[in-house]
Amino acid sequence: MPNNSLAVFAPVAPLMLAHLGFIKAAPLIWASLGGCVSERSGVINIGLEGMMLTGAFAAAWGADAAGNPWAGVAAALLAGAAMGALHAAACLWGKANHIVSGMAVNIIALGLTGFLLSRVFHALGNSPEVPSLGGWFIPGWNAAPVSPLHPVLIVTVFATVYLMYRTRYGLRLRACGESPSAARAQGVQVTRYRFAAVCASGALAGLGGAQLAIGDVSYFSVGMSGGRGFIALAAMICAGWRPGRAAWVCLAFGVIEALGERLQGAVPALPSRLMLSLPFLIALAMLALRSSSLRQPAALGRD
Amino acid sequence: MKIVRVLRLAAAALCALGALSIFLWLAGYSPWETARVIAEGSWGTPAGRMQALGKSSILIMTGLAVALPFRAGLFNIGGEGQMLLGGLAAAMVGVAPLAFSGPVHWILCLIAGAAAGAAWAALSGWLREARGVHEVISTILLNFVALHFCNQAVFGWFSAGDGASRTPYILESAVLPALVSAGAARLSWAIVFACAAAIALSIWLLFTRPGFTLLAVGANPDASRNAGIRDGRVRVAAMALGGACAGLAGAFETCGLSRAFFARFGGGMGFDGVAAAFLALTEPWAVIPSALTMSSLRTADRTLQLEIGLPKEAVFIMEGVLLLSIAVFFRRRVRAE
Repeated sequence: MPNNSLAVFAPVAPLMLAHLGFIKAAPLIWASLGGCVSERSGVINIGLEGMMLTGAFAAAWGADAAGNPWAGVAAALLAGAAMGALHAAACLWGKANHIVSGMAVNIIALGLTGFLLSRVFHALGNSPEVPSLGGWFIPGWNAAPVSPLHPVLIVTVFATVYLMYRTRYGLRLRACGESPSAARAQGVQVTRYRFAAVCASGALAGLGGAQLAIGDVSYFSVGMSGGRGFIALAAMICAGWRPGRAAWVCLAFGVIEALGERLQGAVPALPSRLMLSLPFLIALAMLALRSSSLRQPAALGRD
Repeated sequence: MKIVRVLRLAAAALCALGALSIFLWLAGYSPWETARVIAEGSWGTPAGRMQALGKSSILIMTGLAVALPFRAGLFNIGGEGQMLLGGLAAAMVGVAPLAFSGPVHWILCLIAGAAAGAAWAALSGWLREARGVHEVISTILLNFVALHFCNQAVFGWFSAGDGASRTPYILESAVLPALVSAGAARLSWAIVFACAAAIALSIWLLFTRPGFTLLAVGANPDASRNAGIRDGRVRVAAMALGGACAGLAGAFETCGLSRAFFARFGGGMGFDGVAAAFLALTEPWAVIPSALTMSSLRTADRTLQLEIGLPKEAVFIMEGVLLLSIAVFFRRRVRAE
């Protein structure tokens, strides 16, 4: 691609930009799906960042240990679910404050992944290269390869929306988040639904981490989630806690990020590190514009 | 019933220690050895003691940054970003060639740090009151904005040059006076200021009208509004107060410890403030012993790595487990009353 700022406006560029945006957005979408599932059931989950980080490390570890990246994906799912179970146990059995528990999960995840990086890989900042999921290069499409996990993500988005809005279980889940007393009166085991929801949210965030570690690159790096879990939360809030919309918000986000990177490449005079704060500023702006008109699940954070 | 709460805290700490001991033992370390190394590494040598106290001064302030807004009903998770901006502001004022004598220069640095932190936190407070953005998410997002802004400063417009990843050293007049010094190691007056601030804030909360207003808004915002208190403004002020504490933490680090602002400034002590605050049950004076405990962990992390081969990230695991344990033992209301 010619390194010319006007190239941004070439005819096929919007599609490529959308693709690049999707690549950037994929981990966010995974995490925001997780956020929706958990918070719709009534449990605040700010530990998504830690769950994503744990998933990223588990993916690298699993892929390395088994020599197969899909083993890493499975490991990420399980590790994320385990961290989710920790948060769920603290909040639902231990009756801990959801926000404090989420923060604790983030801190534990940071420590655990750093600790294990040292022990398992004997490395300090980055792990050595591990088998990655790779991707398919479409001839003539010089945007980026299509990672195998991306179609899985799209299917998952549809599945989540379907499960949440078109099945009995989804209705009950949402009832747990809106009025647990009414749900209990109907015979719904609220605690079990919530527990399952939080574990599922951890698993989803973990898969987002897998996308980061063995999908986009092929190694684990300390703190690699880089705030994406929190941006996913912002997207979730902006989308009114609706998984389908949250996926779109994340996509929009990814496109803006990709555009920002293009701009950075085209105008080198822009302060590069300051540009890194762009995603967070945009997330904040989105929230500032939308928050006053949004309604959170009525029983969020409560019993 | 204060005794019950202290006992609960002790139970939470014991549970955390138990869980951590099991974890260490499974990973092949001796819990006793670990505890011994932590105690010795941080308080066993004069240099270690000075470093531990130096870090404590910062942790007290970041702990206060979380504790005070919490008493007003807010979660200030933005201590890290507020601390960074405070440290940068102090570094900027510190290099200004002001021909003042005596303590004026470093006092100005501290004020600059506090102001920077207060403004950043007040932004979150305003976003909550005016736009309904929950302060947990806005403070977390602003942390990252502050981080990248400060990195831009360190590597860009405020770099010391020659590829150094720090700002220019502050002038001698901007350095906090030393309380104790032994050879190369040095402990500044920051620890005294921090302890004084913590105790003063406890007194302020209990015995003054503005302090009571803050507690009232935290305890029952509706009743406060009925009593004529402008709870929105009190909340923004509470955030600003917390931010000022975090900004001071950064200023203490710049003017008391490192004499410059640099990449990886503070090493995440803004986040430790969350653990420190809840370990103290969000009571300002209790943040002092809480911070001393946490700074022992932080000071000894390299010693742990050297002596028993425990990676220094394990310290975060300890913090997180402790925080989780306290969250479970104190249920929904991790509060001092």
